[in-house]
Amino acid sequence: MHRVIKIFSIVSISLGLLVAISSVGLCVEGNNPPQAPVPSDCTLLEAVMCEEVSAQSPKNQSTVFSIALGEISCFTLFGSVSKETVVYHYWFRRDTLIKRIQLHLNPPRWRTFSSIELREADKGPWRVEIRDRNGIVMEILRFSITD
Amino acid sequence: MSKIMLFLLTIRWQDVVDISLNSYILFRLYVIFRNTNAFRVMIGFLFLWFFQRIAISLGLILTSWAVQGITAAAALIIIVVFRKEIRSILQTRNFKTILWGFPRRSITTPVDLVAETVHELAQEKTGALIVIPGNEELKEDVHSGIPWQGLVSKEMLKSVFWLDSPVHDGAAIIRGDRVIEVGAVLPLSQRKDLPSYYGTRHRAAAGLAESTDALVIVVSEERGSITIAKGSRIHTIKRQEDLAKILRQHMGSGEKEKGSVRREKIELTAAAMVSVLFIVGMWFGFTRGLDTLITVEIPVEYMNRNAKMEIVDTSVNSLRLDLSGSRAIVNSIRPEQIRVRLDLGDAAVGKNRLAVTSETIDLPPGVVLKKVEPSVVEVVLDVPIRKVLPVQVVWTGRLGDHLIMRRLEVEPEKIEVIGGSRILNETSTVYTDAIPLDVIDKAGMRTVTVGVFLNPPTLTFAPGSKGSVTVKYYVEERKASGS
Repeated sequence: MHRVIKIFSIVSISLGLLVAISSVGLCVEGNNPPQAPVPSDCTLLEAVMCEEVSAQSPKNQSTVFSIALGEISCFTLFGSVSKETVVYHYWFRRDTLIKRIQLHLNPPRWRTFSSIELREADKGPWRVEIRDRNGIVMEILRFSITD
Repeated sequence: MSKIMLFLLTIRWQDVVDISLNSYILFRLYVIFRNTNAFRVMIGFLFLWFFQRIAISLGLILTSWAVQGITAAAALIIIVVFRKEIRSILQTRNFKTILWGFPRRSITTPVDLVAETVHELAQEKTGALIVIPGNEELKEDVHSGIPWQGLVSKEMLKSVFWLDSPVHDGAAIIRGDRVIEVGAVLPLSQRKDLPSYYGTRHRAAAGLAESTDALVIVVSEERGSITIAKGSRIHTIKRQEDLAKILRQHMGSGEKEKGSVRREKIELTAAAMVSVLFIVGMWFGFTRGLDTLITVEIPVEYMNRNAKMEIVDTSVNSLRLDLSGSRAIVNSIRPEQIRVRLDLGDAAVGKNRLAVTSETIDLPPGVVLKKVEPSVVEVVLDVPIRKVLPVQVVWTGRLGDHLIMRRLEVEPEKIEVIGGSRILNETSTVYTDAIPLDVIDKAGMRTVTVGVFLNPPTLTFAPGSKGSVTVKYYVEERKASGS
C-alpha cells in the first residue's frame, strides 16, 4: 500500500513539475510572440501623379504641376485585393504632412485616387506616400508645384 | 578697520605692479628732466590741470572750459617750445641713465684754474667772456665761434682775451677740460632792467643765460669786476672762492659739498614719494572713481565640448552684459577684452541648460559685472550620425502651357549625409537648388547638374558623396486629350 502511495506521489509531483514547466514555457512564449511580417491585403500595381482622373484613368501624368491647374490627383491601382481593406495617401510639402487621406479597397482589383486643391502657398517640392493599412510605405511619388 | 581690510583684499598683484611701474616712470622723468625749464613748465601745467578739476567740481563752467583748452594744448606747447631742451637731454643720456642712473655731469673742468684765471684777468682789467654750458646744446644760440679744442690753462685763457688777440671780443666756451670755441657771438639780452653801465659783454652774457641753462662769466674791462649770469639772475662776484663754488654747483655734484649731496638725496626721496602718491591717486581715480554703467553684447564661446558631439542649436548666440567701473576704464573697454566662455565638459546629448556666472566671464581689470541677460543659455548637443537620403528636385518658375514634364531621373537618387541624430531622424529628404522652368521652350530630353542644398547647415555631405546631382528630365508637347 505504502509503495502504491509512494509511486502515486512521485507521479503526481512529476506531473505537477511538468505542468509548471510547460506553463512557464507558454508564458515566455506568450510574452515574446514571433515578429512575423503582416501580409498586405493588396498589391500596388500603379501609382502616378496626374492633373485629373477621368473615366477612372489618370490624365496628364507629370512631375511638375502649375498652381494654375487648381487641383492635382494621386492615382493608384491595386491588384490582389484579398478582402475589403484600406490604404492611405500621405501628402507632404517638403517634410511637413499636409493631408492624410484614407481610401477603401474592394477585392479583387481596385482603382482609387486622392486630390488636393492648389493654393499660392503650396508651391514647392511635394511627395505622396502610399501606405497600406499597417502604415507600411508601398510607394513614394515625388513632384513639384510651381507658378 | 574691517573696511580697510576689505579694501586691501580687493587689491590685486596687477594693481601693485601697475602702481610701482608708473611711479618709477614718473620718478625717472623727474630725475631726467629736473632743473630744466621744460620741467618747471610741466609742473605749471600740472597745477593748471588741478585748477581745472577744482573749477569743474565747483561748477565754474567758463573757467573750467578755458583751463581745459589751455591744458589740452599743454603737451604741444611743451614739445614745441622746449624741443631743443628735451632733445639735448635725451641725446646726452644713454639707455642705462634713462632707466636707472642718476645723471651727473663729469667734472673735468679745472674749476680752480678757471676761477684763478678769471680773478687775475679781473685784477689786470682784461675783459673776458667765458661760457660754461649746462645740459642744453648751444648750437642754435651761439654763432660764428672758431673751433679751438685746446686744453684749459691759465696762459691760454689769458692769450685768448689778450687785447691784441683777434678773438678777444668774442666768448670762449669751455666744456670739460677744453676750450671748444673762441670768438663766439652770443645773443644780446633785450632786458630793460639791466644797469646802464653794462656793456655789450654783459648783455651778451645775460642774453645767453636767459635762453639756455649755460653759466656765463663776464670780466669787466673798465671796472675789473667779475659778473656771473645764469638764468635770469646776474650778480657780481668779489672773491675767487665764491666763483669756484658757483662753478662747482653749476657743473654737478661730483665735487659738491656734503650738505648739498644730502639735500639732493632728500630731494630725490621726496620726489619718489610724491611720484608714488601721485600715481596712487591716479589709480584711485581710475579704478575707484564714480561708477559708469555700460551695456555690451558679447558672443558666447563654448569650450571642452565632447569631440563626439556637436552643437546643433543654442538659445542665444550672444549675451548682454551690464558692466560698471570708473568712466576712464569703461570708456576704454574694447569688445575683444571681454569673453564669455561656457564649459560643455558635463553637457550631454540633448538640451543642456548652462548658467552664466561671473566665473564664466573674463573682464578687463577694474570692470565689475552688474547683470547678465540671459543668465542661462540652452545648448542642444547631438551625436553625429550618417544617413542615406533621397534627393528631390526643386523646380521654380512656370513650364509653358503647351509642355508637360512626363518624368525625371536623378543620378544619384540618394546621397549620404552626416549630422546630428536628432536632426537626421526627422529628415527624410534632401532637396536640390531650384531649377528654372522658364528656360524650357520646347519638348525633348535635357540633362542638368544641380547642387544639393542641406538644411540645416549643420548637416554635411559624407565623404564620397558629392554635393550635386545630375537631373535628366523629359518634356513633351501637351496633347489636347491628355494621356
